[in-house]
Amino acid sequence: MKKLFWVSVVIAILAAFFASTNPDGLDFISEKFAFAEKGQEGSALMAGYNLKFLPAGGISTSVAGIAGVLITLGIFWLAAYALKKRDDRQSNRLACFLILMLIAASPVFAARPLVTDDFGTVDSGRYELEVGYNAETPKVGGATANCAVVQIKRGFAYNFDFGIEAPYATTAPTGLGDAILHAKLKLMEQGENNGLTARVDVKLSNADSASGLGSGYNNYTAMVIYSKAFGDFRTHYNLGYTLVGVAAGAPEANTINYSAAIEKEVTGGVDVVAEYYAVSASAGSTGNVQVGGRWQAFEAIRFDAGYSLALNDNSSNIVTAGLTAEF
Amino acid sequence: MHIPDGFLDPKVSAGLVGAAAAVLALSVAKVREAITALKPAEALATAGRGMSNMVGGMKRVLTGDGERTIYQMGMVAALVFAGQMFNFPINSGTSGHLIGGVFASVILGPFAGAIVIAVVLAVQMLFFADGGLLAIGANIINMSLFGTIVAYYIYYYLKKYIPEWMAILGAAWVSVPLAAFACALELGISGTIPFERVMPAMVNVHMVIGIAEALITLVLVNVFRSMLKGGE
Repeated sequence: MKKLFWVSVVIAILAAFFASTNPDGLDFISEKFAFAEKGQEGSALMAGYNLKFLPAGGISTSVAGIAGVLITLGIFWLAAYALKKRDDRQSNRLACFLILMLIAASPVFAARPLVTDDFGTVDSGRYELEVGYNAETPKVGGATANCAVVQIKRGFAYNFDFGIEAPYATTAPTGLGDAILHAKLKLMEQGENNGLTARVDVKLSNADSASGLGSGYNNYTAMVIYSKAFGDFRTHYNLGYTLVGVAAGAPEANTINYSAAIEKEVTGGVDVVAEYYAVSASAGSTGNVQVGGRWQAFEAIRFDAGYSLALNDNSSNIVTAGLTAEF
Repeated sequence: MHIPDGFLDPKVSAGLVGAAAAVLALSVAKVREAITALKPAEALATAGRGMSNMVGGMKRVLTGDGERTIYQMGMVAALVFAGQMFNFPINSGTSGHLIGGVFASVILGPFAGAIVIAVVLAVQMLFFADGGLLAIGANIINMSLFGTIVAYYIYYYLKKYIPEWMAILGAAWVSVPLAAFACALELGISGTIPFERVMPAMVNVHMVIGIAEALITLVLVNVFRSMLKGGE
């Protein structure tokens, strides 16, 4: 068995240096019959079997290939481990990690109206539904775009939740935008307000990009979320990296996302919140400051509203209002 | 033969994701039956935690052989992943690479083989952007269903009439144009390109690629079997 592992590693390395770079059968046909340009370049950690921080070619592809061999092997190894000790908490954590790995931030999925996420996950077996309405006005030029957002999350373990968000544009071009899948895994928890969580989002390319909805490409985001309370003030810090899908040959548009938020309960059930969030990209960075509030009107329902001020010419002023239901 | 997003109509992609899910669900059920055994629940109460699925006072637990099967699946998956990276040049500026469906299914059986190929496709799609996210259903149908399960039964029936090594060569060779035919059908239904134009071209190119698939499969099967015999 061990020998076979080394055989696959050797094949991957040999492939990196000696594999033919000619298009494969389907690529060849798609060029010959002129439908190659319909294909979309996906984005991924090791897109094109290369590591982003190494020059494309032999070494980079070898490392990517060995990573691929380890990932495929690891999936089955973890499956065997999880099946063997199915009730073990440890293997639950591993299984969740596996799911996270398999699903590979955009500023969503936070506790409304904040963009900054907190470290908490939805309790196991429970659901959280968020409905919101945003009006976005670009700071420089452009008309206001309105958008309704529905999001549902379910807790699958005490430390893991999974959800989907679907935006629907109500001003032209109207229609369903790109949906976002999200998975969150709590790594560390100290009391109610302090903890560390990892989150992975995948923005799908389901929307009709020809009519201006959605980007037409998938994005993948990984982020870490850290929460810490100082007395009555709860604070949250996010740092994420997004692989933005672009057309073949287009400049890379990956972004670094970071934000910080502060929350305080002023009277029973009423929170005041404030945050700073920014997206750093070569194409144009954005920054916003948002202030808002939340009101726990019923045991299961919370209303909220916020105003987000654009800090630079690339960002938009945003008015948002919505509700969150837990059941 | 990994279809990227954009080649297929979204409705076709979605339908094939459903079909692929059904194929995988069937495969997982078949493999689960093979790698687990029913044991009385009382015996397990003393043995501690096992698999928690109760079947009328019985519990399904992973057997020792079953565990070995999963490790073998991982090993086959790693070999197939590495093998698929190795594009070999064929005529007129084209290249081909291993599918590995017949290799996986001859070693592991058709259903475990199908799971292995599907996992390799998922890893390639998620980590290497090889094959589209929405097209994953189509890719699983082409390579896991046609290239693995269907090709395995071709091997299985050929084996009854001819020596095994010839059955492996034959099934591995057929598996490639078979998957290419399915791919052409999907492109045709999607309206990307007329089926009657793309099908002959796809099948012709892949009949050549299939020759290499057949030879590599025969070598891999023999290497894998001999290394397994040589101890864990």
